[in-house]
Amino acid sequence: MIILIVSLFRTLILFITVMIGVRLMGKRQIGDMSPNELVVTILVSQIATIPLQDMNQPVINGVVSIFFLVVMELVLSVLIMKFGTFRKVVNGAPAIIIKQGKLDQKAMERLRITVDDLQEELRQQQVFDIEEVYFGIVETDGKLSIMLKNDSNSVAVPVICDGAYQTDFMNKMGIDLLEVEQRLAERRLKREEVFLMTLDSKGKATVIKKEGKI
Amino acid sequence: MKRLWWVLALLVLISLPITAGIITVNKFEDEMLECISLAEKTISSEDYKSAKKYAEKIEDTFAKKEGVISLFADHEMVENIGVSVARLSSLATKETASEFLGECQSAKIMLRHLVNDQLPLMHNIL
Repeated sequence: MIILIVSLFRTLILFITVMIGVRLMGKRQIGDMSPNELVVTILVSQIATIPLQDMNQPVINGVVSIFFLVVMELVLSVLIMKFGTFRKVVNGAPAIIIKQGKLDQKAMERLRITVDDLQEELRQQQVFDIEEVYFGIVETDGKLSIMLKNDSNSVAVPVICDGAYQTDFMNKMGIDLLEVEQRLAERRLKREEVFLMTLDSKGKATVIKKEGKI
Repeated sequence: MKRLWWVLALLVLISLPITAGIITVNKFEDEMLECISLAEKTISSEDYKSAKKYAEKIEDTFAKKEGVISLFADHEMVENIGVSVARLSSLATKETASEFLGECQSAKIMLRHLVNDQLPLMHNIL
């Protein structure tokens, strides 16, 4: 029975380790998870249970592995933040499956979304007729964002993120690069100086300048 | 960036037990192997009294280091070495000399296994 005390201490050590790890990984971990965050979370939970189940395993093995996963997650988050291409490779990019009321069947096929899946997702958002949807975007976490035809809001598309043109989105939405450059010239700004620039369907541009090192 | 400093701090934190583990286990292996070799030599030269003394020394060394080694190595593996070295002193007689040598071989293999399991070799990684 005294082994239970050992077990309690091991549990306490691993609990503290996982808590520190989750805190270091940041608040995003608790909310919607990107693929890398999901992988790290699954691995951390699995690794933490090994020394708990197998008393022959030194606790330090679990602690070191968990902290190393946290290190990898932190490095990955820095790379994702700094490099757009890397971000796309790891997290993917949002995909438009309904554009101006029209279904993009190729995009649906690529994302392996069936019509049933789409209708189910729409119903969950209180939309019972696909005809009502003007824009439907599958986000990187797999959730569907929709804009209805009678919605007074306009769709704002990111055209520059962290000083880089979002050509994929611009092409999908039919936004001309010259138009974006013209808008920047009007504001006497260079692309590199822009943190975020969006262009909505009504032609309104929103520009947020870079504040310095992020 | 703050996150990179955390990365650095965690890497230092991780490298500490790893380095300590490698040094401790290697040192333990060296000490134990040296004592076991001496015990083997003495029993081969039919000096059973000295062999018994060496066997007791091996047991003492193991008892002293067992706690620290268990921090870094598989507990079952460490216990098996303990069981093996504990038998040595009772086997240090003329009648059981061959069993003594066999037990020494067994302990040596387990000790080498303990160290080899830690090495960053392909068969350990995969």
